[in-house]
Amino acid sequence: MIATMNAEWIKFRSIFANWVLVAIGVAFPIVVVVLVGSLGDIGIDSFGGVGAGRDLTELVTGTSIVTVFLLGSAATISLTAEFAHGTIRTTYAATPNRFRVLLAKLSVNSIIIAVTTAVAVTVAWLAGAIILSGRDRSVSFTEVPEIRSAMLGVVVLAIIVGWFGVGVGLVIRNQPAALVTVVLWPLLIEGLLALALTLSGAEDATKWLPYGASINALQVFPPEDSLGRPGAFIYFGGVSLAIVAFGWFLDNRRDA
Amino acid sequence: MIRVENLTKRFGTAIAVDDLSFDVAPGKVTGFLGPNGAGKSTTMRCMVGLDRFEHGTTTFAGQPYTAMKAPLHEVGLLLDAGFVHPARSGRNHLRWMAATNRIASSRVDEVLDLVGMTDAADKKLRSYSLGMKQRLGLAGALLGDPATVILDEPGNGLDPEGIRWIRDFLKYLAGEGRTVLVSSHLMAEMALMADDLLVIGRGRLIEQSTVDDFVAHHAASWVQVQSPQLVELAKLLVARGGVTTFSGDPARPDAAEVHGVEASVVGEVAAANQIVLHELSMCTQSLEDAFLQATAGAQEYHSGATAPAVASPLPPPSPGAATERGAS
Repeated sequence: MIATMNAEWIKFRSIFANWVLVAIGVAFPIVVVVLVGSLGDIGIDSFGGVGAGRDLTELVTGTSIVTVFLLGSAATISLTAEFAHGTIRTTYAATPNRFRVLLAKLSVNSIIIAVTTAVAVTVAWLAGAIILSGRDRSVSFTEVPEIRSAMLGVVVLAIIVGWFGVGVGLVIRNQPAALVTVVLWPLLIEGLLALALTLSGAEDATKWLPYGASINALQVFPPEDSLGRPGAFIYFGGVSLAIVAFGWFLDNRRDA
Repeated sequence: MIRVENLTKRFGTAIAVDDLSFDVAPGKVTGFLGPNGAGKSTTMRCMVGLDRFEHGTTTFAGQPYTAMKAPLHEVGLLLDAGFVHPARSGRNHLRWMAATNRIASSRVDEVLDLVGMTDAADKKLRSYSLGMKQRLGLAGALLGDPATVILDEPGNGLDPEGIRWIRDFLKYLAGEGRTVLVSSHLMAEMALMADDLLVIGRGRLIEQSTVDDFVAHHAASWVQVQSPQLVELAKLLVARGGVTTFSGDPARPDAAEVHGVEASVVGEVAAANQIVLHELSMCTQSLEDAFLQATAGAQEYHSGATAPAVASPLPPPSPGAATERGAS
């Protein structure tokens, strides 16, 4: 297993485009937080005076969605590129146990995504905190425990979107179609479903939309009628792993 | 030793490989031949578990490929040199392959050197020619120093030097006692390279034999003779019996092709009757001719247009029809 993970790591780091995605994923929330922290009205009673820490945290978690999708795309590509270029045959020839390959891809992508997202949100938050301190606004990472769990939530969501991408890639195999699905499902399809549910009077059901539930969980204080932070991530994680399992089921029956 | 038993693979309702069974012996280069669409590549992919199949088993030294923990140490594969990521370097392509089977990275440098790709190893694969990719693919097949090597069209895109190199190299590998299975459309190369042949058509085994036996079985052979006393020689040979065809060449009135007898017989008849011979040689059709003859009923695809007629220097024989143009 370690050998297969090592191979997956070599595959990832030997493609320059992956590092571009990682770099943009790290830079984007930092740049936005620095700009908004320097120029905006962050931390001025925007949350009823609770504090600038919460304000900053929700800015970081909100802008980190770009990081989440860039890394989710990288995870999707790590699989679909293999089908696009035919290297999946070399991969499965070198490691005939397809489950081991899948597990290695999930593990390596999860580690890369976790580290990258953790760096992005931490640096963005610290940069924002330094800027806000310079503007005489008190910011504390320990202001409320929910700040830390919301920040950790970005890391968890990014990992789950990575699983979602790998699962969709395994089912669809076609790279453009898989990427479009990974991006459009949360950003468009769930939005349309939520609209349809609301119009049909089933607004309560919108909390069961997996990505939407996870987005709610990124708020410092998730809405009371939501699934809650752990519940939302367990739910979206479960859905994503179910797609991965379905993809593995199909892959085991398909030609490489 | 490769053993394939009752391998059957379908694509929908079409049977790509039909109850195929064969053995590939170690210490020899075995050529895997068949017309386009015969199922050669599909068979190779099924053998190593890349394609799912309906029935059958394949073992390498008694072990199924999919049961191997580190298969690159047992079986080296080159199925398609184009299966590479264009944005990755050749060296990194081999590095990740090596990592999967815990092969030392120093071995990557060794095989790169072996296939003459050291200088290009750090270039992106998008800049590689087909021939360079073939060499890289061969390097990948040799990474684990395997006892069995399976190569699908390894000569594609190689220059003459590369083709000669791969021929010599495969013979060298077989000489070391390894099992070498190689498919190719280059019949002339196969004739020089292979010891044994596996010929399939429409997914079925047509023949498995040595190259010499295959050619002897399917290709015509004849005696090329040139003599200033050709008419006299023809009469003597026809009178002796056994000659099926004695055909002259209008462009060379003193030369003829004699079918149905050995060169030694022609020589003995000529000597016994004091007939001068300027040429006496045994001619045999090529492996390509034998292949076309053997697979005539198993061609999946046929050319729509007939090529312009070119006078063949080696017309096919007409068994049973004893013509005596040269003798008359």
